[in-house]
Amino acid sequence: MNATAKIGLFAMAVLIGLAVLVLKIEDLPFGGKARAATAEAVFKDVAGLDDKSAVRIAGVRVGRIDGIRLLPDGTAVARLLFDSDVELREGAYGQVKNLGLLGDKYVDLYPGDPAKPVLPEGTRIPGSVPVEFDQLTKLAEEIGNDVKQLTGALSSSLGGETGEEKIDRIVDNVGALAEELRALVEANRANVDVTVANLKEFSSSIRETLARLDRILDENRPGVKGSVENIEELSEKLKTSADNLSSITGKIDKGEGTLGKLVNDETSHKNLNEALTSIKTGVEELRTTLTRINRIELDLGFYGEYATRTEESKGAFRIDVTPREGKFYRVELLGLPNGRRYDETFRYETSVDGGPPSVVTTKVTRTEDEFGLSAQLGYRFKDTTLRAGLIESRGGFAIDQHLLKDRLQLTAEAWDFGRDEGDAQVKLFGQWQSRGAMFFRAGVTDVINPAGRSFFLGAGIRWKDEDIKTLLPAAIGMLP
Amino acid sequence: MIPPRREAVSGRGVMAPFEAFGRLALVALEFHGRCVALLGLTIRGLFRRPFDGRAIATQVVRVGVEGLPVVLLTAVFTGAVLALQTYTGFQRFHAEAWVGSVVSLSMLRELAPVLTGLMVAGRSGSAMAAEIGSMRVTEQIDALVALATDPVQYLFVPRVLAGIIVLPMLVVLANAFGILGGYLVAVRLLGANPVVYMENSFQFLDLNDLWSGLIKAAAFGLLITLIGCQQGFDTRGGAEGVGRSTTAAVVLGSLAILVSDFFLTKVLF
Amino acid sequence: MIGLMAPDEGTVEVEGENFWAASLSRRDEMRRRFGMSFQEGALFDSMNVGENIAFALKRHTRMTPAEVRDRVSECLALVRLEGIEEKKPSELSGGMRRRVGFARAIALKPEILLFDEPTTGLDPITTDALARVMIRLRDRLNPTMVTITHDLKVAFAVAERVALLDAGKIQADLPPAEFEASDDPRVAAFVRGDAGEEAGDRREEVPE
Repeated sequence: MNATAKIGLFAMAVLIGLAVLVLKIEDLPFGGKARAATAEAVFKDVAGLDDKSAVRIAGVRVGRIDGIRLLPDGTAVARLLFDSDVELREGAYGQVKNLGLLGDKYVDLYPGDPAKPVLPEGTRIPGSVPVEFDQLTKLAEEIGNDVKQLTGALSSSLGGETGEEKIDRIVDNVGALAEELRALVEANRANVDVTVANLKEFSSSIRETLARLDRILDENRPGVKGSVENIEELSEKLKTSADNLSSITGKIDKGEGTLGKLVNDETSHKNLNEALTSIKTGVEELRTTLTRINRIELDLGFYGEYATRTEESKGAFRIDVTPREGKFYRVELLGLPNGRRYDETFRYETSVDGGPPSVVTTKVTRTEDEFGLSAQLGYRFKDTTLRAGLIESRGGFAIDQHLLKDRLQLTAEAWDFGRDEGDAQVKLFGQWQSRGAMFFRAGVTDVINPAGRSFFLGAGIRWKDEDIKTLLPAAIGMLP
Repeated sequence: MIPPRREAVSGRGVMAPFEAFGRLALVALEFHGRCVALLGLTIRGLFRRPFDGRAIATQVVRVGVEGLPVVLLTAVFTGAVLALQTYTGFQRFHAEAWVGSVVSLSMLRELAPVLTGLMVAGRSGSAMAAEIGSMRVTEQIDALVALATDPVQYLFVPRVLAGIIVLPMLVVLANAFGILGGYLVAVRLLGANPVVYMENSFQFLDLNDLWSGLIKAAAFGLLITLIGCQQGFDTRGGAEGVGRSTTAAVVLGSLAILVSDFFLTKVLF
Repeated sequence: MIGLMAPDEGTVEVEGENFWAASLSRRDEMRRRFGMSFQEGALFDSMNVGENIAFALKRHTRMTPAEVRDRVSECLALVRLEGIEEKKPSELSGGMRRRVGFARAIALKPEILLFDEPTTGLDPITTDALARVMIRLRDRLNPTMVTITHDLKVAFAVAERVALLDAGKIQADLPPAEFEASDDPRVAAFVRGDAGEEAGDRREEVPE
């Protein structure tokens, strides 16, 4: 098989693969049943439903959702796309349902009463959202919030060292309380026993009394008096048991035990408040410090430039630090592959046979790699930036004009005023910043010096502050 | 012409660590600069005559057709492993249904481009470095210049162009085979419902997922071939130098893929 | 070296015109007037012999394939290697590779021919055969030839003038016979093959 055939086969396989992927992803059916019917379903809430979510009838997938939009009345309408052999009839409606507990949402379509007339294409049907997992989770969330509040209150009163002490005290108190309760119960054992016995007796008396009442009523009240006596006796017993109970709770009420003391401890309350206040100020201070750090912007960049005529290239790594708006420091490390150049002239004088000397002169321009540094202080006034400092390891200054909301930048740079070629290095260029991190520049370097003048092209990447702040933690996380 | 790389001079004493760091920075900057410069020359070469279609075809066959088995094998097994791994994880909270979505999404957006890139860097980037490197040490590149032929145009343009064209093509097939690998494991091994699995594989995909993977792949193709050619072109020091360049082409190519992948992902989404 | 190979650094003036300051296309135009043969032949080992010789013809001329074929066999005949177009460079011996290198260098009918160490690493008989081929090329094509060699036999056989380059300077520039008889200590030492006290590392001759 020759190269052309191989490429042909390869390309064909790729095209088929691409076609399958695109068709599958776009959910375009193969072949015949390309036509699809549409309808719109109005829902009060479509949370969880998305473009491309499934449309099912009785659980069978018949289509998908093709866009969801909001109606002016605050309800949502989803466009349903389904096989054209599905017919919607009057009474059809959609329902948002869940596939399993974690599964995604889909629209369950009820196609309507088979006896009723068919609805036209694109018709709008009502939709309903049953009580579902969402509400359940919402409820759970409310409960969770309550629990959180409760624990929050607890932790705020028990946090810190004083809190620990307090917990110790509470534990002690609880121990004491339990002890006390036991003692109390022990001491009143007799009472309690009597009370319980009384209650038992009471209930059985009631039973008897009721039976007796029945009988009395039956026997046409001959022994009413006896009954009344019985009732009096009963209520007497009841009173005693109630007295006993109240004497137990009364002791607690009066705060005689440790429990009472705890409830009424004034100083602990005050301590707690103070602790809370100091924590609050601490947090606020921390917050102001963090904001200050956050305000310093740090931009990083890489770029390369290539001068077409002189075939020189350079690569640079840049850091811009902006401590406050309008002022920045710029440091650049540059690799200048042909950074330094100097000429060497070789002269060979030879003479043949004592004849007239022939002279060969060779001029060699040597270049050396150089490692350059730029360090500048810049000020920005509206759309103009002035920079001054080191440019490519020599003194210089520059001016940038920003246009089109900073997308375009025109720059003039001048530096190295004392170099051998006489005039300063002057560089003019325009730079375009893409929407992403890339930027491109083009211009002329060494404008004054005809030997060095060249058109140049450059491209680079600039990561702005936000990028770095997301990147940095990730980078640190990668360190062992 | 581009001046050759020069060896750094070693230093001693207190300043040695700084010098070492400085050297590292210089080498990194120089590599960056060389790549930009050679890219510039390559782009220029693209528009200069003669345009050598046959050389591009040869490279397409070498990088694409001959690299296909490795790439597809990698893709199938990646898809299979992914399905197996996500299954054991998802099973714990009864979400086995989404194995297909995870496999297809991660293949299209991330794994197919990156793994294909790494395979091609290992296979073709190194081969380019070795070929051009040995041409350098046997003076064949000088011979090209002597025959009035721009070596960058003659050697770089077909390879870089082939890389940019072929990588997305390989990734298309790697996508398909990765999903197939996941399907085989899920359906044959784990007993998933084939229809449901396929449905879930594609339900959440967006065409953007596919395109972004292919754009990444094209960028990787450029990086791999450019670095491979650059390493070969800058080879110094005989057969040993060729070995060094070959290794460097793989290492730098792979690094370039992984690093640029992060930024491409950030830019593309 | 005369500025045909991409030099490590520097500028070279060729026939009054600054080679490296010239534009790229101008440089290539200048290069087409040169033919250069390299130390080990530097044949493209991805191509066969015929394609190697035809390389410049295909790229820089508008010759038809038949014309190219004729020119290739003509060049091969000049170096006495008829009919090996289909062979790969790896199948050739060192001497044959160099002769194919010569053939490739003369394909464009250059005005100036450069030989870089044409005989290094070859046995005396092959060296002699190569020297004969060089003389043949000199007589048939009549180009300006510059040969860099360590081999005095070759130098004296081929050259009209012999120059000794030592320590970056041309030490002598004489016709072969006078060169051989010269009493300049360096030249004499070189002719005798006597390293003497100060053995130089780099000694090269430039016969013309």
